[in-house]
Amino acid sequence: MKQTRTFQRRLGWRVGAAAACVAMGATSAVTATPSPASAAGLATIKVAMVPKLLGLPVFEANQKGALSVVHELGISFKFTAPATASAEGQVSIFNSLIAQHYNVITLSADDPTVPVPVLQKAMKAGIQVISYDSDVAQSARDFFIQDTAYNTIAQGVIDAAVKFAGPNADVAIMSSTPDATIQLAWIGAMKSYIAARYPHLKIVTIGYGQSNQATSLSQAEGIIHSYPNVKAILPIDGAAVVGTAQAVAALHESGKIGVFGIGDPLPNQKYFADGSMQGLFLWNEVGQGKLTMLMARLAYEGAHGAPECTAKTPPAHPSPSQWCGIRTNYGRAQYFNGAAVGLPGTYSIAAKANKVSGATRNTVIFSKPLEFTRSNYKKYDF
Amino acid sequence: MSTTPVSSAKPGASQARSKTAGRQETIWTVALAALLVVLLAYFYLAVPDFRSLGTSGVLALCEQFLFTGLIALGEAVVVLAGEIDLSTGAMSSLSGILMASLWQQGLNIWLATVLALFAAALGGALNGFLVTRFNVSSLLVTLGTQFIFGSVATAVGGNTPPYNFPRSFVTLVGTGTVGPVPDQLLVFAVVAVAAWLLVARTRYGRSLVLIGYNRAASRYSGIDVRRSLLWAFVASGLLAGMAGIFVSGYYNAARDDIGDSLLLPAITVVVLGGVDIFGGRGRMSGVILATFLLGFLTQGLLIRGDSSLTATMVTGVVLVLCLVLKVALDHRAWAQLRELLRHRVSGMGELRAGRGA
Repeated sequence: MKQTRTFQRRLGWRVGAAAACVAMGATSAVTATPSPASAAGLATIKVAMVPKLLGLPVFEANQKGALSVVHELGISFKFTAPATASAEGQVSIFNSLIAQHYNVITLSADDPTVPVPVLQKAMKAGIQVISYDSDVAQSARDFFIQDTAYNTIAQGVIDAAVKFAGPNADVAIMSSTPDATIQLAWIGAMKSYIAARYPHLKIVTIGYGQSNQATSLSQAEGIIHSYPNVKAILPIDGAAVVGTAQAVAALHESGKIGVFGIGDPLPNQKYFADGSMQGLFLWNEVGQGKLTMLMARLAYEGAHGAPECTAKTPPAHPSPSQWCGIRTNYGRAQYFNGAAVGLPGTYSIAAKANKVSGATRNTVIFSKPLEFTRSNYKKYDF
Repeated sequence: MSTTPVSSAKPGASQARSKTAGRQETIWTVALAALLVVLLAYFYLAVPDFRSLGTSGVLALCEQFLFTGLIALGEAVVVLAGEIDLSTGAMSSLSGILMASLWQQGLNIWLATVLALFAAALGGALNGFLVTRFNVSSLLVTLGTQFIFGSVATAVGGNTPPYNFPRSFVTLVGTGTVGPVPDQLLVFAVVAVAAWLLVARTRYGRSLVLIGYNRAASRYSGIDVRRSLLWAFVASGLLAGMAGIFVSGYYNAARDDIGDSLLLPAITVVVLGGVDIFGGRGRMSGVILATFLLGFLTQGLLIRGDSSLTATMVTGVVLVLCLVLKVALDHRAWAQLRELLRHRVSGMGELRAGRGA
């Protein structure tokens, strides 16, 4: 009897320990939120940046850009995302951001429809929602920052390939999946540019790597084997870029078959160095992070009565009274200046959809594509 | 050492063991309930944003983890019987896609829901059939059917799976409330009570646990093991299908991979709930409590401002700690028991020896 009681007591102690463990686990969790440091006189606003997932160099580059300007913009900044690309994971995060009374949520959507209800709930709660890189349904965001115009990046890739292989060559495209929205748009833009400019350039096939490096590798090898006349392969998805370069290197075609794609240079340094990669196009991810934060401030100001921005405002170092705002309910284009975060030039917010550039309503096109070549790839860390 | 207790002590030992096991299960359940209270109190007192949600806001948090709970309830039934169902996540996706696609074809959405649930139960029956008929490990069978269900979902859903369901549907199964209580919570309560009654209060439930505990013995005692297992898989499939309907309602969109991320959390809930992963031990009440414990832990940490990475990590730490603790408890129980028996046996000897001296 006595022993049984000791036994129970011990159990009790262990249960207590378990409770303590959970409590400790809950309290010792670390946050990486930078401390708010507002510029003089400017009301601090809470802005969250939610990419598709954590740990991808391009999204970290966005974060780096954002962090470099949040102080001047009076933003208390938070970078948070699911550990793996998951639309449900993003929804959980959005819900928690609403509970934490964030002023602006910026996101790159894992899925265009799944987060719609929660983002509409956020907008109803007075939160400004800005998507960048990958858009959600238009009804679930205020503004969208499109990386680059579809036609210009397509032109960049095709021009580079023609310069390498000539205007009469056979080329192949390596994409992700047959239904990937942005890749489809790029392929469409490439085709129409080829038809208009290089009528003798021939796209012999389109391979699909399923956004998987190994699949991309075997698909690209298949293309090289079955189309011996192919002079250039154009991979337009992150995994396809790496897989194609690997295939070209593995089959000893480096320099004979050109690889020109859409992707970030950091994961491909090796292939630039060994000559199996000739050119990549992307946008400046660091700059895009800065623009995202600037638009967060402007959207907040716009919703709180600031005068409308013009091509000249906000100025480079605005005082609290010089801030302007952007709004979604205008039926005409709006303009604002990027100088406050050190971005050159004026940005325009499209009032209606544009088929050529791919812009939808209330979309800002961030920049012209940036070209990475064997001579400049080392300068970029994304 | 463990062979020292004489054979005559065995029946007594097994009786004592099941009693200790029962006691342990009670203690585990009470501990989970206590932890849940501690956790909610902590978040309420220490996290202002959590407090400012109010009752309805805190209850609304449930909408984000009750899908996992539904799957866990079905999974627990299978695990109790000593099997596992890895196809539940894919089944959720499939049932959501089926419901959405049938609706898109012009069918009434509620009829589509019933058909999708029927298909989910049928999928569960397929699992059960393969496992019991061909005596293949359920781990392998459901690993396989997982891919089948997932691919069918992708094939049926197509490139852009349907979204934007009728308002009444989204309200009732997704985000609707009765007063401050989400509809989902009400449905979950009904299902949870039913599952609890099934396991704890019916002959079928007890036979399932016995099957998990000792299959040969259950066969000898006249239980139709095959049929019982088949129905366990049907229950698992049906509940996974139900979870799929709720997920689709909550997100107002179907997606062919939406259930993938639910499987592992559901199994985590089952194990944290105190169900022995090898079957034969555990309670539904523990699984129900673990659903809320894990759910509120994750949501609370997110609202506290932690990254989802931290939340996932803390979940992992809690799970491992709990399991280590549980195993330690088990060993302790065994050791105590042995000690008790040894004392009794050798104590007599000592007594006699003492007298002799």
